Amino acid sequence: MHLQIDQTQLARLAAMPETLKYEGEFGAELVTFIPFVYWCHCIGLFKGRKVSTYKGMRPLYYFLGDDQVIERDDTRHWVPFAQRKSPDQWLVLPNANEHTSVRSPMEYFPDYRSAFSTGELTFDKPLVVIHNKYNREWDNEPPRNFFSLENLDEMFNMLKGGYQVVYIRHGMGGVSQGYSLDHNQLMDFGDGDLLARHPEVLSFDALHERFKDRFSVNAFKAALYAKSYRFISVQGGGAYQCAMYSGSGLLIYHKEGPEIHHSYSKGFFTRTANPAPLLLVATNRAELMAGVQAIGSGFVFSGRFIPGSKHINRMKRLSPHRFKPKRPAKYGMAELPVHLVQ
Amino acid sequence: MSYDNKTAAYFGARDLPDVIDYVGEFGAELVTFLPFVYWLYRAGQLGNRKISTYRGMRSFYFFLADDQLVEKDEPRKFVNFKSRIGLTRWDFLPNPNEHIAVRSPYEAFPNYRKQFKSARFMFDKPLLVVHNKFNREWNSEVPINFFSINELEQIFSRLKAHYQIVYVRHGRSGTVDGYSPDHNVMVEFDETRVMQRHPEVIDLEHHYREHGSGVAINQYKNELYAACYHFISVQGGGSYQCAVYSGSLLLILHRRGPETVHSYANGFYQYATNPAPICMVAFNERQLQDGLGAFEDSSLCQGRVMLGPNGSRIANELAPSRIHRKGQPVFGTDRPPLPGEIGSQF
Repeated sequence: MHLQIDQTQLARLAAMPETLKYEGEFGAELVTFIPFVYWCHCIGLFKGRKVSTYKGMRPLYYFLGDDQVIERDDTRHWVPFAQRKSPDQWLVLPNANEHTSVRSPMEYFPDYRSAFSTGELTFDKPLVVIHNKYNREWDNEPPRNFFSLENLDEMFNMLKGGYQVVYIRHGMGGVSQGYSLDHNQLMDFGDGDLLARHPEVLSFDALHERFKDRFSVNAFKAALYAKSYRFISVQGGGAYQCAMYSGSGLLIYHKEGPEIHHSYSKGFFTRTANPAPLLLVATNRAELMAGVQAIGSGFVFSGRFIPGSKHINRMKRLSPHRFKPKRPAKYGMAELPVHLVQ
Repeated sequence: MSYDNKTAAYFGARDLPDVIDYVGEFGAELVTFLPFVYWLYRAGQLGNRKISTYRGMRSFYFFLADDQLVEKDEPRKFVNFKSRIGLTRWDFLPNPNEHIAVRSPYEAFPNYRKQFKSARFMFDKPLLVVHNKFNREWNSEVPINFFSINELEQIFSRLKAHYQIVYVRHGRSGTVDGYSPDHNVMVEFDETRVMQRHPEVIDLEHHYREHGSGVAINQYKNELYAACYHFISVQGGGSYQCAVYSGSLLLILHRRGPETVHSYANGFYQYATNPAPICMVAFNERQLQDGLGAFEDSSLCQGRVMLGPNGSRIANELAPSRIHRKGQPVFGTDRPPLPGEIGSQF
């Protein structure tokens, strides 16, 4: 499915403001805003222009000059899809809604794996990144998409013998000073105590502490991800970031969210990197643990994760192509191209 | 043409001619000209312009209306790289030389696997395409890059139990019908006996004559390739075509050619489709035999080939990233791009 550009969009492009402002959540910025800015940069349209984004995002715009990135010290906030209509901000983007986004000739995803490869981070064992969150979601509802302490305990036990597990939950050590948080309200969670029982598992925050003289939080995270070919994440923007690292195996624990309609199987998850991540989507504990076994198998060769051959059928069972959601369209998904909602 | 003017040319489409004419070989058209045309089309910059190409290319330009495509009934010819500069038809291409081509923001590759999905090639076993050629190459009096009878025998006997093999050598039947061939001079090559010894192997031209009534040969071939995830090809444009089908395993027998400098490891073989094919390059018969082992340890998952431990070991040993060739640069490869370079500057 491709997007074709029309004259209206070209006129918006020609009238693009000198400073292009991004408002919204982290994940959407990664998969809709940055690829457009990068494309503009590559063809020379960003000469003399700036982006205005949130605090801590500088490393992810590595391709721009220092004077081209303005970091606002604001809290991120979600922008309802119906409000993404301003011609000089949202409508200049080829894909203003990440959940209905399709391949566009005006988007270009940066190769973060190459850009952030560094010899400064070395580990004795191959890495597995586990990305968790625990916060109120959507209409201030209780947390839905998160790894419970029992899930984490089981995953750590399964993986820590063969892998260097790095556990990330932003806000775990309190509010970070290094970047603007999404608007979601963080909540207390007992993962610190759990990590104390698994000293082999590294906490991202503690690991960053060792390198903070040389790396900002997001630069360090980008460099760490560039080292990893195995990611386990809960649904959400954290998983979007994992998907931008080429050749990975990516297991997503998805309890709720609009990505199963389109994004996982036909949307940005199929084009954020090349090779696009091999994606597994688990919706319950049994599927999650099956997925962990698959991610914890196999090896990496020529820049791509290859699961153990015994796990191929498991990979097929957890494929995102299996979803046939019939729920009412939300999150702007009524705007999906007709053939995609059939 | 300066960088800024070139950008303006694309977006104002001022300098592009009313008929954008392609002159050159088949493989280069697939990986340099076609992705630029497709980008123009999708970026709304093609307008009412027409594309002039060679006979038989209609299916590759599926996105154009019938009256936007002109098919020339003439033989293709190789255009020297030194001639691809200046204010000519080549100058507006983001990548005028396929051998040093890099990912460009002005190129978009069509999703051929999706476009040509059909039920025409359904077999009990997974498909394997073996693509051969036998013609004079460059300034040589004799063919260089080809599967010998002995090599075909090895491929067929070893893999026919695992795969439904389809053998492709254009011009095998002595005639070329339905498309303009490259300029190469065909040399007589008789694989009849090896085909007779392996009746399970399908010959594409024969299959097309039997079942392809009413379908253009390139449409037929594209449908075959779209149903196939396993390819073994000799060096050249035939292998370029294999590389535009996502998620494949591709073994190339390469005896001579400029693709080792850049294209296999860092060029269009790595970005013409997503997931890019797992590419193996064999330089001799022994490596070709080794490469066949990867096809015995392969399965398909989520639209991409997955290799087992042995298959991965082999693919690693034959990976194009291992190639560090020295020697006189040819075909405009004296200044190969850096790995990961983006075609942002012209």
